[in-house]
Amino acid sequence: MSGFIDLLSSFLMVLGLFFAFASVVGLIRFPDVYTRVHAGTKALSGGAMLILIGVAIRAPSWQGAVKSVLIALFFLATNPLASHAISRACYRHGIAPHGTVLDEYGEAMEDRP
Amino acid sequence: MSYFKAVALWCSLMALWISLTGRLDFGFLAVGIAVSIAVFRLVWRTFSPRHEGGRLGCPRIGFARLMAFLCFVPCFLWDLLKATWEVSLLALAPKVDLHSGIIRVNSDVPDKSSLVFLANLITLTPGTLTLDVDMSKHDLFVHVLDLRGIGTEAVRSDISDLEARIGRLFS
Repeated sequence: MSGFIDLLSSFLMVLGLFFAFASVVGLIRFPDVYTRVHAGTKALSGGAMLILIGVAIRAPSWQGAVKSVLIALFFLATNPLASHAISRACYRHGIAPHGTVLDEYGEAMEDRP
Repeated sequence: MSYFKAVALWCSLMALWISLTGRLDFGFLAVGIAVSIAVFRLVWRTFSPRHEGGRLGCPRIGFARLMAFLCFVPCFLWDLLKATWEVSLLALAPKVDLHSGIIRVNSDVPDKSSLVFLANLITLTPGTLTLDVDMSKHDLFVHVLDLRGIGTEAVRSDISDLEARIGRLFS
């Protein structure tokens, strides 16, 4: 049983590490700020969730497990808000999306006085 | 705010205190009781719809709500994993070739707190990111990472799926 738990938490942590790595690669390779925010939000929060769940499974005491679950919850609550604030501020400062095929936000902004 | 809901709010504050300190000694628990009473006196108006500044409203607590929540969490975690996987694939693909776009989605969720919840969920589900929310018209502006493969209608129907799930959670 203990071997299985170790295996499961190692698997989750390695998978989370892979996603964190992929999100960093995405941050470097994606063309503009909005797509980079995509990489920084989704891939990173998924990776962090997996790592934190792995830590929670393996934690030696219940305090450690509860704390890593709390960190995961705060992560989920704050990460989308931060990405929304970043991308909105960028748009309002006139950074145009790269290679866009459709931009209904710009049209809606122009309609306003 | 009913008596039962007040007790529920105080108990959740106490549970947060215990999980943050991680101690069950008498001294720590006594300080925790004092702190949760103080925090309760500060915040209870926010959850009470009858008072000025009661913006959040008080969610109804019950068995059906609990079951909806328990069904919602695994779905959400699965979506998050799928989103992570898709973005990772795009990031590690040999050639980065994205056709991103911003679409406007009208939602008909009833109140502001579920609108904020919906915006957060859209950010965490595959391929989409909430850029801005028009609170007065209930419009969401959603940045889509790769529009070429899926098209705007598919994104819209995904979002209305999410809306239905949130409606079950909040109504």
